[in-house]
Amino acid sequence: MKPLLEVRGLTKLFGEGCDHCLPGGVAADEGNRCSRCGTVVGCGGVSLEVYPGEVLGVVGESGSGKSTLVRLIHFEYDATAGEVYLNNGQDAPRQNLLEASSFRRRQVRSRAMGIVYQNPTLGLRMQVSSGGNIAEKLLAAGWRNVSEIRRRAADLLRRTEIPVERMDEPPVNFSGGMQQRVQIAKALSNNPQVLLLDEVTTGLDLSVQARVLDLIRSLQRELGIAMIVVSHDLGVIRLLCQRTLVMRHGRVVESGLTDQVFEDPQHGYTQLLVSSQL
Amino acid sequence: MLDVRNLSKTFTLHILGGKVIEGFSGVSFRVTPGEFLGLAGRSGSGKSSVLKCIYGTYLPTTGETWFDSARCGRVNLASCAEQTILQVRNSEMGYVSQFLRVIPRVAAVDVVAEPLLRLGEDPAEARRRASALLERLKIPAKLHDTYPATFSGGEQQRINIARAVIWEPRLLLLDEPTASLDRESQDIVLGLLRELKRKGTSMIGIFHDRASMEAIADRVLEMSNGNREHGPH
Repeated sequence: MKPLLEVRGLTKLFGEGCDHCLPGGVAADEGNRCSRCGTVVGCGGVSLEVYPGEVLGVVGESGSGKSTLVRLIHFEYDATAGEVYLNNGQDAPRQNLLEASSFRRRQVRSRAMGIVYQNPTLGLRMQVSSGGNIAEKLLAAGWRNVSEIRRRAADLLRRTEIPVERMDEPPVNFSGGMQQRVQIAKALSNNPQVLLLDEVTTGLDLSVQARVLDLIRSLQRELGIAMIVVSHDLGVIRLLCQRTLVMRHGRVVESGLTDQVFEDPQHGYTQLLVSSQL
Repeated sequence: MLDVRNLSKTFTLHILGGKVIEGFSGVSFRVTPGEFLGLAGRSGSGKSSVLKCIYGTYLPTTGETWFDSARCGRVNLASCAEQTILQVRNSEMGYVSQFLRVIPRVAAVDVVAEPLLRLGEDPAEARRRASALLERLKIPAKLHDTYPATFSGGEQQRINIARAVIWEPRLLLLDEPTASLDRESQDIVLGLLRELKRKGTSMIGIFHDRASMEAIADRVLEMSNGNREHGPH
């Protein structure tokens, strides 16, 4: 089986870099900030694969580079180095998307990817109607017929348990859990091949968290979408993911089957993380 | 079917200053199709760790575990790709621990039917078979549509076993599957395992109760003093 998404040596440095820390940023054992020039390693040489229908977890403490990784894959930041391939069978020549034109990257993002952020204000226009938010993504993916767009938006909102009669209301009127579900509806609208979930349940009440997690689980089962799930909540990762990467200081310190990473962690940091669980 | 060679496991606890704990060492055995191998030995002799090393939950420190996979050919589970282990787990190798890891907010019947759905069974048929199996394990019908999180220990254990046997894996690893069951339930479970064995499932099992083990095992491997083999019975 071929991976759907392949990432090789993905690196993002925030700062100019200097002789001490270039080319790849400071050494991992020094942390993630160069002591001479202050350059921060957001992501240092991360490689991963996501297979069709697979859910890959990314865990690590705040500042470990989890979100940076996801946003690099979503082409929101310019990577310092690395390669990203999407093998979706649609385009014959295999191309490192980080070297592709910005038009091509936007196209891949609009047609093949979806993202849900921890903070709904990043993923939604809060003053625009919920249906309008979904329409925006559909337009980017090439939809043109207004009544079809409206029907699709209503379907998605129903699927994510938002009352359809509220589809013309802006998300600013909604609770945090509802906003998260509108974000999920929007992310799913283009039938993405890869869904990126960045701390989607963080900050929600337990019962609301449970509803969002159940929704993600059932969507995954029905649609078989490949996902990257970023969370510092080990329970979320354990529930959703078959394989897991552990990040620290912008690097992957350990990866493996989720049960193996949690029950037989090899790296000192993972051992600390697992033993810190309540 | 399964050929385990010189398997050993040591744990290095970096957060305790690199303390090293030996789980077990030098374990070798073979299991043929339809054979039941019992693992015996004192608490702490590494029986569960052997099963976890085969299943891939633990990374073996040394050794090989060759499995004749119907899907992936002959593979060394100790060193193959993660994707291969996942495929083998999804279609051929099951594992039952003494604890139910409940999937939250999923009804008992769906917990049990899930492996069948994964293999492409029709949802209505999968639920029907799951329900029938739960009946056989004496889980009252009124509980089938409720969440197992609130079930008693013995009920949870039976859900766990039902989920593991319903899809008739080719290799089944059993870690004290009858630990919290009464005599009657134990006998039902042993009956199910015998049926599975007749259909060709190979099993490696740990039982706290020697009588249960001897009732079903073809051979028993003693773990306490290294790796001595007993049997056949």
